[in-house]
Amino acid sequence: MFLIDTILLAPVNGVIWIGEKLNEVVENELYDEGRIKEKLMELQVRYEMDEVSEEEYKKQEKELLERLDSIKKTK
Amino acid sequence: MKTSTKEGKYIYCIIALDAAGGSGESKTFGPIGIGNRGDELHTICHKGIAAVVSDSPVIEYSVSRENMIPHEQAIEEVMKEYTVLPVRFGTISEDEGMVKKIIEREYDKFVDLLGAMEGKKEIGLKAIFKEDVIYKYILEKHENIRNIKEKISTLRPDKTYYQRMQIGEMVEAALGEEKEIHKNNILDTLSPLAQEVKENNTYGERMIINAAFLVENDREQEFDRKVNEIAETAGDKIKFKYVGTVPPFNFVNLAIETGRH
Repeated sequence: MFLIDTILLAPVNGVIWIGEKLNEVVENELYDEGRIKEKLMELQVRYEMDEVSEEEYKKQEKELLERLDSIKKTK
Repeated sequence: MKTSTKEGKYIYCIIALDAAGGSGESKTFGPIGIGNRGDELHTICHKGIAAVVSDSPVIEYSVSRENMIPHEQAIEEVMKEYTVLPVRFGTISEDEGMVKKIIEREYDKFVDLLGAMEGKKEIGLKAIFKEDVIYKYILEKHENIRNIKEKISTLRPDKTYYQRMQIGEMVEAALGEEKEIHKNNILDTLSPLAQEVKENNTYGERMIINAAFLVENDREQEFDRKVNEIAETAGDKIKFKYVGTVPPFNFVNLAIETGRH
């Protein structure tokens, strides 16, 4: 059972937000980061529904994580 | 950047460990900690509420499948015995003392949420139209689409650009209608059995629903039965992915300020 989707884009239902610090984050970057996470989620869901092969999954995940990483580094 | 190799405590979830409210008791759940080092999953308890943690370097774990799976499996392991409050992926605290401080600070919230989640489980349901079946079905159902298709099949492709576009739009609309019908049927059937329902995004034109249901344990069988009924009646056109008894990621997800920032 794999739930990357729900872990990644965690909702705010019953969530305790304890001083999550998002300052110093340019809105643009936040947006891009969110978009890549959304893509990761989409990839995961498609993989789960057998719409994407494991090989393709790994390839795309790697690309997306690298992009995410480079965004974080520029922060 | 947070690339220090200092050792900390990776937090997976919060549980009620000791009803008596003691702090001495400790429990372990196996060497299945994140990071592939075989770190033991153990508890840090304060006034009967415990954080389930493993030793981990204080690093930022990337959100890869490789890292997500151990995070999730650890919580699933704990869930076999306890009601869990999942903590957000990648939460690391400096040391045991800091974890206890977090429990102290959020004590009332943890107790409330644990009470709210007790005796309930999350069930996930995704549904998608089968590609080879649904388009055939739409063609059979809609005479007008069929007619246009037949009409242009004898013509040269470059003469039928507009008609082909028209067909595309009609199929899309018909598919949208079908999705709406099935989605409503699924939600109308299952929502009354759930305490809470959360609809997540769907992807691609054939996906009907991507939802999580918070269900009381004693209603699970009934829920199962309903899902099976839906699958039996619509299984020719729809593929279902039904995942039972997962940690309530969709309903609780603690974002904890660990004081590292």
